[in-house]
Amino acid sequence: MGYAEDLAIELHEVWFVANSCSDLADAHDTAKTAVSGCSPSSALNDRPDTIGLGTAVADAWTAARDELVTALSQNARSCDDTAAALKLCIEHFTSSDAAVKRELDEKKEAIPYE
Amino acid sequence: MSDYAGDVKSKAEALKQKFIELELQWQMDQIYADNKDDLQWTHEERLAAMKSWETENYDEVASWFADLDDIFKELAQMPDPTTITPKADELKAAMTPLAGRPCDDLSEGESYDQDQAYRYVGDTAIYLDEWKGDAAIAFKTQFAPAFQDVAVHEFRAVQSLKGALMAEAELWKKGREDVLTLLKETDAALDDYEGGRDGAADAAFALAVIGAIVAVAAVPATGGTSAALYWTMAGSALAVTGAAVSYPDEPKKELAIKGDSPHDICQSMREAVVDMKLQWIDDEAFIRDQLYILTDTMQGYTQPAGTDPDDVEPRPRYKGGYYPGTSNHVYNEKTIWEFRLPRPALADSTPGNIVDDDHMGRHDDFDD
Repeated sequence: MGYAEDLAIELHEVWFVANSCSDLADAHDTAKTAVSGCSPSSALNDRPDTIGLGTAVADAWTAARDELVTALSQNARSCDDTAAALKLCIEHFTSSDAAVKRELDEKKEAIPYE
Repeated sequence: MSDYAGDVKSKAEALKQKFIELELQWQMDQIYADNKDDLQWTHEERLAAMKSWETENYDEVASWFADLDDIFKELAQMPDPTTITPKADELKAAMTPLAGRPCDDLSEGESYDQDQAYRYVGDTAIYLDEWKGDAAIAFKTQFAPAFQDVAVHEFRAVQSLKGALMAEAELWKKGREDVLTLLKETDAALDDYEGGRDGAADAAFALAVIGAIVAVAAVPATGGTSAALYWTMAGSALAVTGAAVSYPDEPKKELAIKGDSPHDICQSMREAVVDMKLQWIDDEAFIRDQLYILTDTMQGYTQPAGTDPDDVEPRPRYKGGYYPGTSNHVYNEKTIWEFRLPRPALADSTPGNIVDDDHMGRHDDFDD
């Protein structure tokens, strides 16, 4: 195998990881949207202060939710930015070398990410 | 107004009226009892005197039961479980994409297959084998291998948030049942009193709410496991329909409504209401503390190793913060990483440095 083909094989695997990172970011974004969109406070607090703990459970729930949303957001952003970095790597090698780009495109078609 | 609130209002109103009428009768029985021959009244005279006493004293006697309006107005406004349950269900949408491995939602026993997003993450190190830059190595050896576990921990966190809502819904569903049972049993106690007249009324009922947040206890004896697992097991104890567990506190399982007179019976009912409200506070305190423990863990604070499961407590809080120096919790940044991985250096690569040695690097074979 020549240089272009060797490099294309490696870049094809980088491309796989980039897509995988994008999937992970999307999964975390989907989860974040569902979790951050869940706001049960009005349902939990629909009571007089003298029933149960009043607003304490809703407050504790919201604090835990917000902490989780922070984690989901950070993980999503890490994955998304890593995917972008891996694409930069691919771009670095293919933008100035048509042979490498051609080999890589052929490999993507032969072994698509699915 | 929901059916429950309307039901409580109408039943409470009827009960109050029954208390007033029976109390009037009880008072008159004491004053105008048949055996008080010294009054020398005919039957008609006695009835007329009683009627007059009743008219004169109705408002006074009614005022003795006026507090029932506020008591039951408050009890009619308990949280509505049918508005809480849909909120718990909303979180299912977050569980599917966080199933980094096959996961069971312990709050409902539902199984989730591994999400498609995670199908290649385990092979990252193989795919990037030829890339020797510092950031590439850190990514493939540290970030990627940990990611599935992190997702599963996040799945468990969602499960606990969901479980807390399910426990709340169940708590208030059973709490409402208990209020209606209280009204029914108090009414039965009054019937008992009225029927016997010469004996004490006595009705008792078990609090449904006792079993409501089956939620509970069994906070884990983990010893030696990772912080996230420790919390995961605690979180799973929030399961409403899961495995049997014990209760947060030994509950008052049965409430008695009894007394020799309507006002005694009413006082007994008032005490039962207080007991019921205390039970709700205990149950909600348990749910709140599980949520606190979840937050503590995600923020890196856990119980010291070897903590007796019975002594597990969240960090003490005040509005907007934590009381300093009052916690024996252990802080460990790695605990945070079980939910939130440190940002990989690779993510901060730029076009200018992407193939530098401290980023992706460039395998020798690629050099031209």
